[in-house]
Amino acid sequence: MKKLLSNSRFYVIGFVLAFVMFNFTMCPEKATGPSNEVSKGIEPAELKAFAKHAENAFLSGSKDSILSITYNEFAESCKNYLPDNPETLKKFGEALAGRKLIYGTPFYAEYEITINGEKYTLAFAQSGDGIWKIARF
Amino acid sequence: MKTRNIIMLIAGFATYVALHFASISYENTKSHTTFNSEFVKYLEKLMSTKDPFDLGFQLKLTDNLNKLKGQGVSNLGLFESTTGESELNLTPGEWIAHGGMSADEPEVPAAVRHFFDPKGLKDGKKYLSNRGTYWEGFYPNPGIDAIEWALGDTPKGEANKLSAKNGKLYMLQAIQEPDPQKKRQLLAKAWRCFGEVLHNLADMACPPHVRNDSHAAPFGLSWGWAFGSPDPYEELFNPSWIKDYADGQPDPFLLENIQKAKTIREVHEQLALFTNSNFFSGETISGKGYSTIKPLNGEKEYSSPKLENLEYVEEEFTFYKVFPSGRRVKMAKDKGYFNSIFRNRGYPYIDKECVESQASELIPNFMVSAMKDLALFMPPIQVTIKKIDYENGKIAGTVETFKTDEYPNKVSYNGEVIVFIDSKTYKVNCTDGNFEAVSSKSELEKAKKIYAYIDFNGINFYSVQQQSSQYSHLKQFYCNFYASLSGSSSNQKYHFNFDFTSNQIFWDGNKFSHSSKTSSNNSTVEKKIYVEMNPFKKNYVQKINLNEIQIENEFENGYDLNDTIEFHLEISDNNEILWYSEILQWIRISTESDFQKVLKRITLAVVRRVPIYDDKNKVVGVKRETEYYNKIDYTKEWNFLISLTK
Repeated sequence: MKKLLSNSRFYVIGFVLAFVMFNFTMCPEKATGPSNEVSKGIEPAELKAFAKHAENAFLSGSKDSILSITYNEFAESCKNYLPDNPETLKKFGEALAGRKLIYGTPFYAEYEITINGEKYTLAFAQSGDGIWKIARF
Repeated sequence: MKTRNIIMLIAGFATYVALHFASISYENTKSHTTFNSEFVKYLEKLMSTKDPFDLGFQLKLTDNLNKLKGQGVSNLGLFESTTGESELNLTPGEWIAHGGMSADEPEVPAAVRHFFDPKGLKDGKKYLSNRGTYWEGFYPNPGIDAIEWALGDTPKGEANKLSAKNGKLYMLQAIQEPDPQKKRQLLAKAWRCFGEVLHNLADMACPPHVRNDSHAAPFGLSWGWAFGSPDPYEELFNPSWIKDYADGQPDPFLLENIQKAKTIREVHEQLALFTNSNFFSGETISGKGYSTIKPLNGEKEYSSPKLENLEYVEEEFTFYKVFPSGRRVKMAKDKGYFNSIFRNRGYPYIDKECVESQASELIPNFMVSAMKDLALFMPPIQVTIKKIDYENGKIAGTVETFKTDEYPNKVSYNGEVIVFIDSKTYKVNCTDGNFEAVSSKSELEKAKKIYAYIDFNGINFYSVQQQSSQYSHLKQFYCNFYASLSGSSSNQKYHFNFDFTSNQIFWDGNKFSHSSKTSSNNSTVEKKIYVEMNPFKKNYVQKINLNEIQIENEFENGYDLNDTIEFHLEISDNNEILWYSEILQWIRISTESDFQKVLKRITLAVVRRVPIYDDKNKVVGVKRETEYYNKIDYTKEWNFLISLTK
């Protein structure tokens, strides 16, 4: 019990540290001077893990693997034009490795990828149950 | 430091970071509170340029002096059993923001009753029916649409304790409640209800909520998948845009309809229809794109918008729509890598750029609708100064509501009223809508302005400002009386004429007095006039005193035979009957009943010196005969001719 209390103290310190960092070490909303910084929201660890999972699914070249981690509604539509050619899918997977987060929330994330110099966007989402899926590409 | 301690430190840090960021996008703790609080700021900024006397009110929604104690959500939860409330002490503006958040609590029931399809595309149902086969297996469909829930104006909606209906009820109770503490508690509830109403309004400006497009469930719900995928507009919406786009031009046609609206329901339905008809949600895109596009959510297609009716810019893979506001909005894009056969055009989607573009059109329309909501939700309180009684130094007035469609019953105010006489304040009690402040005649006469207001803990309601009127420009004053003597042997008519022009009138504020004396060989006429106008009711007469003495010079045989006629008239008007026409430059007393109301005293004394003759018809003495008339015979014809009797 004593150990637990001792450890809890570090938990609280960590929490307070983050609070201080986020609230007292950042510029105020009306900071003077121009700022072109665009908020990208968040990219939780679960999302990052799923993005890697999706990348691997494309790299596997398996259409079924991709569709299995895609929202049903979109899968119904995209299964008709998602190619069977593994090379094309792999190319998308390779591009996904270099994804850039445009904006992320606890439920939704939009990424940008580049293939042959052309930019495309795709989105991952989860429905509140923590299970991330491909929303569109 | 031990590894275990480091892990705990990181865990604590990570917990805060997770909590900090789990509050972004169109959900309750961030977007809706931002919508509501930005609306309050927008409103106060707008109102700060307005004269409260023109509006009849002044908003004090963010004034810390107006903190109101009430029950608020302090523990967010998925279900009622896991959601907690405690006492909070917030300003009305903060209660409005709080209502924006609390409307989504508990989150699971809220997730299914915050939908309103104005077109009732699915069997006429306006409530959420999309994906019903999935989630209804876990949670019973309440079958209630978002507007009836928020407004509480249907039997099903009555279940909502924080509806607009209850909010208005709390407002009315607060008006009638004499105890200041209880009044504040009622107002806390009322403003929280209004915050929840605005939450619904913001949902009506969010495409998935008005297009029967079920989307993500609350965070942490294990069967959240049943609600389907999150909507891009709702998820990619950045709350900071609310401030950025609040001042934008609203849709002129929607604005016209909103302005005409007499009920909160009309406002919400109009906004919902606008959003439904002009925007896609993520899964309700339809029309002719690279191919025929059907909604992903498996429901029927809405008749508008349609892809084929939008402007498509190939180089950008973007569908645009030009709105009557003048904005060119990005409605959807269809660039897709796997569709190279169709020149890289895939299934249309809404990305962050589209969301921001659409928000720039939707946010200004939310703002104008919210303003109308407030105008309709605010109790129609009228503070009126009914009477300024100079003689007794009293100011009397009323505070009550007038009837509107939202408030069909009149109620009277109980509580404090502040009466201002120039910079001096009188705090008086208003009971059942009536108040009276006691000052003094001299103070009221000197006062430049008089008004009253009530501090309704968030809104101050003002009376019309009674400004002291200027009369120095009135350069002519004309009074004309004819009096006949009823019952007199002579049946003589007398004419009393008071005609003063510019060089004779010297105003002292609201009054002037003048006397004149003219003599000729035959007569001497002496006139005195005192006029007092109402200082705060322009051109209304307060008091007139007229006095005229006519002496007809006549001597015979050394005897003074002068007849003296003395006329005296006092008029006092507290009922705003006598009005001075600046064009005609006269005061007209139209009816005998009006004259009766204002007449205080009228006398006509005729003193005749009657000669006494001897048998040679020579004056040898004088006999005084006095006739005194102080009544009016109202039975005689009234045509500016006063018939006097004894």
